[in-house]
Amino acid sequence: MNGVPPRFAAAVLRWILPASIRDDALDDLSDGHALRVARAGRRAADRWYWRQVPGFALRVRLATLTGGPLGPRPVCQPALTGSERMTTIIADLRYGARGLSRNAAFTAIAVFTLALGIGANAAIFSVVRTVLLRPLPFPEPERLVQVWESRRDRGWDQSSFTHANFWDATDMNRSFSAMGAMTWGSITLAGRDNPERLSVAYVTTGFLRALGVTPVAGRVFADGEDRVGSDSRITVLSHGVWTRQFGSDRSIVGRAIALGGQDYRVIGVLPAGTPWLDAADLFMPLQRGPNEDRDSFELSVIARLKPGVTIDAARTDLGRVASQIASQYREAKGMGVRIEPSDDWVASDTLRRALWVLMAAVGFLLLIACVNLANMLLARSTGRIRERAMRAALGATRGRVVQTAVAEALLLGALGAMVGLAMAFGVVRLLRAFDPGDIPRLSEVSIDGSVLAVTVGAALVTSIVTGLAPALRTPYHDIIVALREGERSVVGNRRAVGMRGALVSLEVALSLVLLVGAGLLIRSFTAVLDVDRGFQTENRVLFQVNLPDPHNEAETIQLGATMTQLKTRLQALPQVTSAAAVSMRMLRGTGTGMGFAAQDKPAPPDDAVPWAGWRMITPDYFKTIGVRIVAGRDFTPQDLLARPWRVIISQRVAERLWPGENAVGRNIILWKGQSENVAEVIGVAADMRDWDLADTPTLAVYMPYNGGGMSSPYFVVHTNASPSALIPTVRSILAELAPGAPISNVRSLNELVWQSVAARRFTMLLLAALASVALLLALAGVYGVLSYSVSRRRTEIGMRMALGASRSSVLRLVLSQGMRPVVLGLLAGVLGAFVLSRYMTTLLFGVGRLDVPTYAGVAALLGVTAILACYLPARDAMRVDVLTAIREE
Amino acid sequence: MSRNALGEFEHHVLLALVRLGGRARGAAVVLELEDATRRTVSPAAVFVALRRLEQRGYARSTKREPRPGEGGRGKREFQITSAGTARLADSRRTFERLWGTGRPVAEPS
Repeated sequence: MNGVPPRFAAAVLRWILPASIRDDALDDLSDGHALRVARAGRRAADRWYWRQVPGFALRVRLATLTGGPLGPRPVCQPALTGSERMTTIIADLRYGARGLSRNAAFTAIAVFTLALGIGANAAIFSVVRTVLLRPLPFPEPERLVQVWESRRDRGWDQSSFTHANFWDATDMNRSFSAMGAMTWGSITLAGRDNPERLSVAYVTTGFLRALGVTPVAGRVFADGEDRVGSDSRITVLSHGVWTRQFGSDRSIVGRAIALGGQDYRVIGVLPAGTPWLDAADLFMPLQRGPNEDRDSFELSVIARLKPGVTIDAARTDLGRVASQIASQYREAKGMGVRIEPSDDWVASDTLRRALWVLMAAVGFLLLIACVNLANMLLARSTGRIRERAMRAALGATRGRVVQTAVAEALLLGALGAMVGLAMAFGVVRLLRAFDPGDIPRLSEVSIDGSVLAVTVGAALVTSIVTGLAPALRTPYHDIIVALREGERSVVGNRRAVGMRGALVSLEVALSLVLLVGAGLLIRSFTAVLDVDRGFQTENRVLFQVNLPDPHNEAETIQLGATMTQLKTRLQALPQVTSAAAVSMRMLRGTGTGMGFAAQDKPAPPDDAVPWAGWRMITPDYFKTIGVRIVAGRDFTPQDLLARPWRVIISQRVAERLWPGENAVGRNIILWKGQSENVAEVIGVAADMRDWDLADTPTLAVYMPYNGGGMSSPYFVVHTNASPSALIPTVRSILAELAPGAPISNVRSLNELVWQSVAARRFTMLLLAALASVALLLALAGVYGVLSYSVSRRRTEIGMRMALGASRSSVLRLVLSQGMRPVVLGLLAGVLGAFVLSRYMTTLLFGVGRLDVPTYAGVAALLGVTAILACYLPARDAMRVDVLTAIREE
Repeated sequence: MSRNALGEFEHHVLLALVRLGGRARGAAVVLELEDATRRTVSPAAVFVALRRLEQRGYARSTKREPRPGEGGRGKREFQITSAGTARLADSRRTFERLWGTGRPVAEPS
């Protein structure tokens, strides 16, 4: 026949249109087509037919959904006014509440699932918001920058400033409205009960001016107070020390306090805040001397850009300044300047990365919770399909049915949000209690308005999405079928089963990604703890002894004598195996460094000079921390005064300078490129990772020391009893030797190690906790879907068994049905983890991001637990009583 | 606009049913409208409009049994109801009143 409309177009329409109007619509179109064939020819008619497809697909199909003339035919169709609509909403909410309270177990599980997802999100988001998103507590923070020196000749791209270079750059730049420097020190606060050691930030006047700080009381440093000759005995108190030591007393301004044996006048009090303002207890002027050096890189420099000056313009400007300085002074050869925005002042890159990873993790968790909830609602809605068919038959429009379903989901969402917020409050308190110490602003974290908004938003979106899914599956056009066959018919519905399977796969995949992330962090954490530290930590205690700074030669000698006495008295104690002092404690993450070279080898090019950390140590240091001297000998007290200097070097330094040769007796050049002191190597000590456990073993040079010369040495004591029990004895010995001298920073070396991995542990524990919750939710999903399906298939299973199926074949049937989506999910999850682990590489140590054991272990864990989750319903299926099952039919 | 008022398109569809006399299939309405208005008319719009008119009682539809020898299933045909006719008459009177009291409108040249 000539009039046959385009088959494919008709098929498309047949597929799109619901059965209730399908025939009528196709009739109209084929009539029209036939008429057009007669009028304008076959081609034009076909084109016309195709053009009608979108109209029918959109207009007509939509009209069937919205309850208009094409929608379900209600027996009565009340036109709802605004207030009537409100009434229906309230009625639906009531109806939903009744339904939820009738099924308390379902409600409890659903609310708990949602609350886990929402609570975790609120908690982590509150941390992210405070730590990463809240702006710096300074005016116009986008104009603040940090400035470093770079030295092309030495291959450093980011170094602290030297004094002279800083002052020159301050004078010569045209980009900054203020530029300031800071360096660190400490001082003893005398008086009251116990003397206390306070940290001091020595700052130039430009420092606080660049930040734009307004003092809480008094004033900050005025111009000129950083010039030599002006009064240096003035201090600005940090907010912390003001509240802690001086009871927030405003009258402290203008008064004198005794610091390090001298009187300092308090001129002001700073506000609280991170960063910089809480970096030290006291702020004192850093004064510009007449002959500053270009060799000691120790100043942290910040600056405020002039209005309208971009960071790139400043880079160009300071580049010009640096090359001018470099051409003028031999010591500044190769100098450059590096300028970075203030983005990472609060949180380091690693911390930012860790927090974003956690944020992604809680996002995944919420997604899993949603999927679980959607699955539960879907199962429930399938069970209630007859109810909805009945409502439709009695005249409920689709809108009303959807409204009812969403109302119920919204109730669940509201409950979930409330419980979740309560959880978040608890979690935030826990986080603050477990403060690893190096997450800035953690104490300020709280659940505030924006966290509330995000939580409520998450709950809203979650409930609407999860509520809509089942509502849209109301069988409008098959009301009769649904009413007649009731619930069972729909279980067999392939699309519903497929959808729930896909949801399970998604859950499994998401939780696998989380588990892989947690697994990689756990392996990194144990790798850091297992790494060969080089030094021993058992029964070792560390503390700092604070004596006033020496002011002249005689005082320096006296200080050294006191420290030597202390060491001798400590070693004489029966419970002490060995004791020693060191200029700087281990595992600080940073340290002092210098270039070095062998005197008897050709000098390396300037930019290839190796860099070593240095420490000053008393004799017995290596013995006390259990480090072997592999060649040569330990220091003796005589080495301190010997010229040329005598040093002990670490094995890696020896290997570097004299590979395969004996280093003992050779001469090493210290501070290569700077003062170039020559020293004789008298010993080689085994390597240690004493800067950072996650680092390569330190290149180290040790110089002799007696505890004097540089104030506040650290003592390490190896005891054969509890390390903490030793401290009172130390205090009483010190009280005899130097009355009024405090000891501080008392810690066992084990604590020190533990503390150095605290941030890593924090991230790891959080992610592990999130991943465990995700695993539980995913397993609950697997179990729920399968057990529901088994309960609906009781008759079928009973039939199968009646017809001779063995129990094991039923088991296999159910298991394979349950595990199929799990296996798919595992595959997808492994792929996802492959891709997403890329964002974690900087958080890992000693383990690759594609670590096979982690992936395999996690997949196995998920697979095995999923089999268990499938086994329970499968066992129920095997126990189906044939007679009962068939009788039910 | 009151709930009973006819939209312009509905008005046209109803008039087309009158012009076609007796029972008409959807496609016939489409053609009738295209011929009368000299514009293309979307069958989807007519489809929805016919059913809206039916819902409001201005039209009714029946499924005609297949004629002998025609085969296939019955096809839906629409016809105007007395309420529809009354509605048209009413709107015609309204228009005439409006036209009669006002000044004639000049046809755009």
